[in-house]
Amino acid sequence: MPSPPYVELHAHSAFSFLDGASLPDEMAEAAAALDHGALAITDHDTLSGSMEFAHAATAAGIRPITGAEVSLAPSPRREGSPASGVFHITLLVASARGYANLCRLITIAHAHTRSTRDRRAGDPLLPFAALQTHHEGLVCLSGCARRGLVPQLLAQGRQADAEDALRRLMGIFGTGNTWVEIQRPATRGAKALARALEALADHVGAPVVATGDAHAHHPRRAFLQDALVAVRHRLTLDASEAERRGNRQSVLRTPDDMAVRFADHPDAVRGSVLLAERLEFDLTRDLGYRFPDFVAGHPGESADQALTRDCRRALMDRYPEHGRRDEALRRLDEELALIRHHGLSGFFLLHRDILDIAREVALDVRPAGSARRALPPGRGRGSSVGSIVCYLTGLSHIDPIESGLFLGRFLNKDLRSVPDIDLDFPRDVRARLIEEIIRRYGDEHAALVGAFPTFRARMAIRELGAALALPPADIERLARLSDGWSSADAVEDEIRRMPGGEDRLRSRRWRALAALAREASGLPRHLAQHSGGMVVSATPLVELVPVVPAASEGRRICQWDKDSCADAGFVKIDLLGLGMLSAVEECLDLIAEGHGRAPDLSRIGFDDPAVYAEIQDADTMGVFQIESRAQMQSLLQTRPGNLDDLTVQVALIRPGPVSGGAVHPYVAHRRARRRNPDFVPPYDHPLLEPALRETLGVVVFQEQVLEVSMALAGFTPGEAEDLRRAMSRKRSRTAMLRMWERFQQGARERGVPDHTIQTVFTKLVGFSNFGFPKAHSAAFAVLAYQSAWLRRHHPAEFLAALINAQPMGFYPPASLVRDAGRRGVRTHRTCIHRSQVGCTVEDGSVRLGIGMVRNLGHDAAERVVHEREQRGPFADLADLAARTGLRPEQMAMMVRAGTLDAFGLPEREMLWQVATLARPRRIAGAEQLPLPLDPAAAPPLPAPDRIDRVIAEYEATGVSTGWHLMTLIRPALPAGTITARALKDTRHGTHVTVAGMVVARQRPMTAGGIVFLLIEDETGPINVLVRPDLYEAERSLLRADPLLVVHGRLERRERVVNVLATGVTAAHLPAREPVPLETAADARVRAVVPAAQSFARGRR
Amino acid sequence: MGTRALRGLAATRPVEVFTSPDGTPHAVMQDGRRRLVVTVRDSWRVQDRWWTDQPVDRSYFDVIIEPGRPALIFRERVGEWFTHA
Repeated sequence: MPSPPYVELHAHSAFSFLDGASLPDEMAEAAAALDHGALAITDHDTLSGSMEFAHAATAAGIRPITGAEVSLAPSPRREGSPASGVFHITLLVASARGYANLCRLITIAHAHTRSTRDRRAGDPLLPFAALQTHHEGLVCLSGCARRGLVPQLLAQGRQADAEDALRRLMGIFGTGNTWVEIQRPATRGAKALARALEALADHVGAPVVATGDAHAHHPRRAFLQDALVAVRHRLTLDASEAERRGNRQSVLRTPDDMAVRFADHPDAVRGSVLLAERLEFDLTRDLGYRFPDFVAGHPGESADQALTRDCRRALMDRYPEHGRRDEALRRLDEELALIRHHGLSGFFLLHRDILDIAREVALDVRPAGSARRALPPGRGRGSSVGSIVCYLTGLSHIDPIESGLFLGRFLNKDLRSVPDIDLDFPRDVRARLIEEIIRRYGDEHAALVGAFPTFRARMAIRELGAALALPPADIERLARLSDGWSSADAVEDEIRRMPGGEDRLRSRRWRALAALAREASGLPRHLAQHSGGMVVSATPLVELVPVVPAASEGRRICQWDKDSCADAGFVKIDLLGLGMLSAVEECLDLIAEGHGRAPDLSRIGFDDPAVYAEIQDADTMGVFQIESRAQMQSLLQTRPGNLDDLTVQVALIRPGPVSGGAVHPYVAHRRARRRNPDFVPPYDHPLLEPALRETLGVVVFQEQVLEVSMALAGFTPGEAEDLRRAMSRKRSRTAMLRMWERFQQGARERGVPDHTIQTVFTKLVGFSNFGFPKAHSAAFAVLAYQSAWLRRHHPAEFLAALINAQPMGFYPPASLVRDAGRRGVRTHRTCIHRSQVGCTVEDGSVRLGIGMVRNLGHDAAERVVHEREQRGPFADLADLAARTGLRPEQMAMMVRAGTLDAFGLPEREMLWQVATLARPRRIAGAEQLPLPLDPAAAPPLPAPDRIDRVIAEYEATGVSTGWHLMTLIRPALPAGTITARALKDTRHGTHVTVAGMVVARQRPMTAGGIVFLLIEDETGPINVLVRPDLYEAERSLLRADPLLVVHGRLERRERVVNVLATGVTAAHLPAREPVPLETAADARVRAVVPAAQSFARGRR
Repeated sequence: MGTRALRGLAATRPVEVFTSPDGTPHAVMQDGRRRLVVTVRDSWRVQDRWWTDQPVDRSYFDVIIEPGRPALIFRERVGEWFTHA
């Protein structure tokens, strides 16, 4: 085949956020289909899509070229340049040096993007001078027709300035590396501009190159491209004509088509081929990253020697008895040999150093004398805790010999990528640790891993709906009703369900919304911060990937996500902040405060029958990992009785085992084992027994995918790891096919029948990557047990700590308070004389913290408590106002929360006073003295009734310490409505009516359209099942109303109790006088119900 | 740049245009006479307002017709020709 006559050297992917409209792999696959031989992606000021594109292009059989279109600030020295103008130039990477320079340039361009006080993201801008120092190995094109440096000056008729700018670029990049870029966007004046550019190039002796500036892989996406531009400029499509491209011509085309379009510029077409030949850098091959080799703390020793010495020393301490020591030694030698083989000793030392830093940070964060100081700074999770090296270097606290953990996934002979080491920290430790790591290793060597949130259905509906100028109220209603991307036509279906839906779909704008939303799903929206990944590099990281400031001060993010970082071979350290670790630590402090000393969690054992009794009864609200609705229902059936059972339980209710069909067999086998301890679970094939024995024949843990593929198909650990990775990533369909063939062949060689091979592989694919590694589950099970133990034995302290660690977990504080109440723990309102900032414990009861009062904020709450502790209690409202400078609306909220009840005045009188208090003013350079302020006397005011008080309390703190909302509503409920408690004694099949406040709504993909509702009344939670037909009929009620009456049939299966709904209505407040106020109160009640876990949207 | 032709040039009327096989105009009927296109100074494409009930998809030609008179003509997607009066 003749080589293509044209190479596209200027194209944008969706990583040119809100501009490019196609994913890198769509661009790569389209280019291959259109017979391109190579393609450059040149996104705006980013390399975010570069690694993904390089791999996708290689897989599609075309050569990836790396580049970027950078935004250039006009030189301050140049008079006549518009001061506010931003020009584009296109930079293409010719060599590894050039790649490093491009990373540095983009890093520099972003350096000041978060310089405002609120750290809102600004636009990247590269100072011209930076090109002087970082041009080597780069080829510069003069920029796009619309915004290019030279084209724009020419278009403005500034011929001399254009020539001058071009000569300056040539002076920097060199004559052969500065190309005049000619585009034909089919807009008015573009032809003349192209001719002028060619003439200028000829005049100064620069070569010319034709480029297409493609913004989409297919003309269909060009509609979305228009809409994205409107969204970016916060304009409607109608109002954004000047910003949009004006036609749909800037899409990827065949090389032949491009050659025809540029028929009058043959040199420029040839130029694209000539230039492309010189751009040899391949990101999949030439990155030049090497594993860190941090031996700073071990002078005179190699990393291998240092690691071996440290591990052996620790081994003697950890395994004093000979028997286990020998086994441990064998395991250690095996691991160290593997680590040496892969050159990873420096990497382990790095991790150890990071843990040392964590210890220092923890001592700094945890107050002296606190029970927390004795705790380890963090805990290992993930696959790393299967490693004895990790155990001995303190990276993991789980003994892999004792726990029988499998090393394979973490380290094996044919390792394909660097293992991750995951560490969990309490949130406060983690926040400081990230900053400290960046400080120690330096800005140039450490950064957080990036993440790319994609267009969520709601976001797409709101933003695209606004661009289409659809009525905001309709758009908001549509967005709220949306189920997410449940199918390609999700938004269209949703529009159809709206009132007058069919009519709407006949209008072009509404149809456009449906089509645009479908096209936008899955596209990256912006660069964000990964939840806890960091990369550290011995060579400067800013030469491997651009690094940009994050929204939080002191943090910087690299422009790659975790997949790209893994493809680059980067060492990744996952530092996750776990709310439960924060809660457990605080709980210990609270216990120590009340009882003088805290329990030593490492000595409580894992065998308290009282704890397991609660777990088996699904009495686990607030317990780590096993508190969700689905977990509770499962606990009733699986009845975990020890830490091993809990380890399985934690991993079982995850998308992987659920879609892999593991849950029902596991439950059934547990039941059989309870009845007959000698029960042997059935295995799909006898070869699988060793791998699946501990989970009763089903795949629950991630490494079982590896073990099964090794046992059944004879995979090596490396191949098994390839299978796991292939299942976990989107760009892997061909990889999966290859794995399936290999799997089939291997299993056949072992005499496994075809239908068994099919069954097992289907289960593995169903499992995919959405499960926990066993090691991870083991670490989580420990925390689950510890939290259950604290909840059982120190319920008040546990509740207080849990509320203080919000937001976290499945339930809102209101539910936690109610649950603790049922268990005998009283909760008191906030009190101006007694409350601290956070919740505390008083004589076995919980005192809510002032920090919970809405609109007050942590700082104001701290100010109040500090002032009280320094100068004594507040005498009255005026005293409080004068000494703290609280704003009237903050004080009003405190009144409503009940914080100020101790002042002894009726609520409405206090509200009156707050409104009439003169507020001290701050004057520059001076401070208002805390003078008493005289409130005006209140006229006689009616007292609020108890409904008002409860609503006010919910409004002010999100929690009611007295009445449950449902207690107030109950008098107005239909006759015969029963409570959650009464449900316990109701027989299977009985028709019942129940009512409650919605705590969670879920529609798992695996449940055939059944919607699960968890509602709560004053006596406890109630599980409701809603069939698809009822859901469709009562959608808006079921999706949005927080207070429901449910009619249905009681279903009792084993110990699981559900109400199968046959009808739902809204629950309303009882009628009060005067009537007109009623609807307002009803609306207020609905507004104050704590946010539920609603479908995909969690409370986090 | 180019697409701003939509603005202020709304008044159009149909015109008969004779085209070469590649679709470029080579003669225009004006004042009842067939006038040759002397030169095509510029051509561009406008595709816009696709979200409304009046979507636009036009190929514009900025031409000089005999005897040296400028004209702005466009072809709608359906094939009819118009000129901006």
